[in-house]
Amino acid sequence: MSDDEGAARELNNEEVTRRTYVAEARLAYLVNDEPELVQYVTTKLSTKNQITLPVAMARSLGLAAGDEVDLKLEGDMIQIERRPKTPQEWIQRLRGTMAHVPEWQSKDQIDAWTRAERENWEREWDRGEKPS
Amino acid sequence: MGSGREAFVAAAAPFRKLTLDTNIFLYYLANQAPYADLVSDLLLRAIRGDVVLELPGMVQFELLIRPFRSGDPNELAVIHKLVRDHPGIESSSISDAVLQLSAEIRARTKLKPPDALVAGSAMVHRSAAIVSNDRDFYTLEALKDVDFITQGRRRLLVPQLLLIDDFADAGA
Repeated sequence: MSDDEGAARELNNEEVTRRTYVAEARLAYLVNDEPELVQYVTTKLSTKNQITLPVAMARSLGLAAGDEVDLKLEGDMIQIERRPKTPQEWIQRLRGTMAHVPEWQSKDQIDAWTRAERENWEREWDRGEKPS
Repeated sequence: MGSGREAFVAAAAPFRKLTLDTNIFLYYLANQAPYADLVSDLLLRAIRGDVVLELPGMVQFELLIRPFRSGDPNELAVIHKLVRDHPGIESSSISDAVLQLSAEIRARTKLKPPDALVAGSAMVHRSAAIVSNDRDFYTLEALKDVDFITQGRRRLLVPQLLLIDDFADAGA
């Protein structure tokens, strides 16, 4: 067997493996058989820069065909996040996401923080030319 | 729904465009009850297209301070999502028009520079009201009869103040 034939056979085997995987995933989806949740998986980028999400991952985010996702580049990672679908989901998306900030643990603390930020400007302004 | 919350919904209902001050967004992001409920109500109306919420450049500036101080990329992502990717929220920049008018507001009222920039942004973008907890914005009422130099000696729509503390039992 020549090198070319060997490479072609290897490619063919890869394609068969890929098709098998896709077929199994499609079958699992059709029979609503919940596949085991996987947290890490390796997938291959197509020539159009497309990837296939494993069914279990897509299901765990409640994703369906046509849904939009946000991509976020961070270092050498790309995060995929499902976009909210309903007004309530939009509200819940950011509400409380800064609840951990020590200076913002109460309404009074938030007001004090904002006031302090603004009064700094005033003091700096007044050190210069105070309006008559 | 508590009476304060109902009153707030009713007070905000006539306006098609509102400018929100920094602390209003912070109540929501830090989930400070009952104020976060009021802000959520406003956001829901905005998402449904009933009102546009203006987020002035000055407010964006203040919202970004904490993430840059902490260096936490997740905090920065939260603010970017709010500012750049939230239906119903219209982020505005500190344009030359905003700067000019804000300077004139500062000169006429002695509002703190950040307050003047928020007010200037609201007026340039024709917001009918500013939602805040800063009583200093009441001084804007003095501008109702002013012919603004920066506007070719014209009068402008002076936004009302919706002081969220006036609805103190909100959401109870």
